[in-house]
Amino acid sequence: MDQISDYKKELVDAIAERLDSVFTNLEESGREPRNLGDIAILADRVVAGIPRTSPLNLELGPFYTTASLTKWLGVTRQYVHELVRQRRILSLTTADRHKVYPSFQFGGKGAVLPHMPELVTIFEKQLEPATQAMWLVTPNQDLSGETPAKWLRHGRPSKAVIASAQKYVSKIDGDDPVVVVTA
Amino acid sequence: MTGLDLASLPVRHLRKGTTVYRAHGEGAAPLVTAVRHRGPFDLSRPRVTAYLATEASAAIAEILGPVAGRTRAVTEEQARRFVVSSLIIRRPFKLASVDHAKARKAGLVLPERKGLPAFAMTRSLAARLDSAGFDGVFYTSSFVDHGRVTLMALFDDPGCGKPMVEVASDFVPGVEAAIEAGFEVTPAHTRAHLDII
Repeated sequence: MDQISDYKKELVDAIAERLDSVFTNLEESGREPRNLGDIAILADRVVAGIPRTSPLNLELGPFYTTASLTKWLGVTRQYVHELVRQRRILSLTTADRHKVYPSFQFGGKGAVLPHMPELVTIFEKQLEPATQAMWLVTPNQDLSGETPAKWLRHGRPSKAVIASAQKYVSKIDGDDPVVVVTA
Repeated sequence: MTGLDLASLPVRHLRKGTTVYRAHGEGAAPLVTAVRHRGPFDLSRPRVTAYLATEASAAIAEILGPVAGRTRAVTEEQARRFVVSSLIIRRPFKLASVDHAKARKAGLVLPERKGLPAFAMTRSLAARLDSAGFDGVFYTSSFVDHGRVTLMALFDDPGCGKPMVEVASDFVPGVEAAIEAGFEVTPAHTRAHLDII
């Protein structure tokens, strides 16, 4: 917390220093500060440039790399690739082409979530892997507000999770496309 | 619910020419029907149900809400796979407003649509409404927080009569629709952006 306070103070001081230069320039040019516009909007613009914690980290993280996962599970890289191939775990590919594995899908002793192959098969045509993972960690009304991952981890009936996944996919593309007139 | 007088339910008329919305996969048909009893108001064949929204934001929220986590965030890659189509109603529809306060006053107590078993009750209501001459239902979205009734299930028999809607030429790309609906659309991350163990 102290580190955050210190960093924030340094940042505010640095911004204040730069603002001094902006307002000196304004004064010299005879312009009114009000011409800069609404203070709240200006403040939002300044803050918008500060990198935030990615929602992916909050929802799915932290992530294992192939190296750290093999080390933790005590298995080979081939075994991890086989788990992915069999759809038993989700792997995400970053923009710079690294494979990462959301940690929520592993239990304390490395146990994978049950019924993942069925779920991935249901989703894979319509949802990219990160979104499949997001479905697993999003509170689900069909499961009394529990997330599918926690529901499965607690050993509750998988039938409800599978039915909810099928229902979601039906919601996207329906059961039967209807030919309609185009205006 | 068996003693419910359906005639006492509040009615909302959907006029011919009204624009409605549906979010769907980019390559998928703008209008689809549900018959497999996975939706809350599905009917038995040959009758079908089409699920639509009164607002584009409600349409996209229905699709993205279940995959947006607690932070209401979606990946840009996923949002790009969706579009929101506009459809124009081609004939008038008489709909029962089942989440309206007057419906509750009339004795309609719907289960919260939590848990798929609750759908058995809503589907039974749909069948009764269909038989009684209603063309569908209006109901609320749990993914839109302004409280207005935003979703509709329209009953139809695809084998007879003219199609219920026509597709308008305009559509909203998924990224734009998601942002408009208040979702955070996250770009592809490099490894450096992620918390790595």
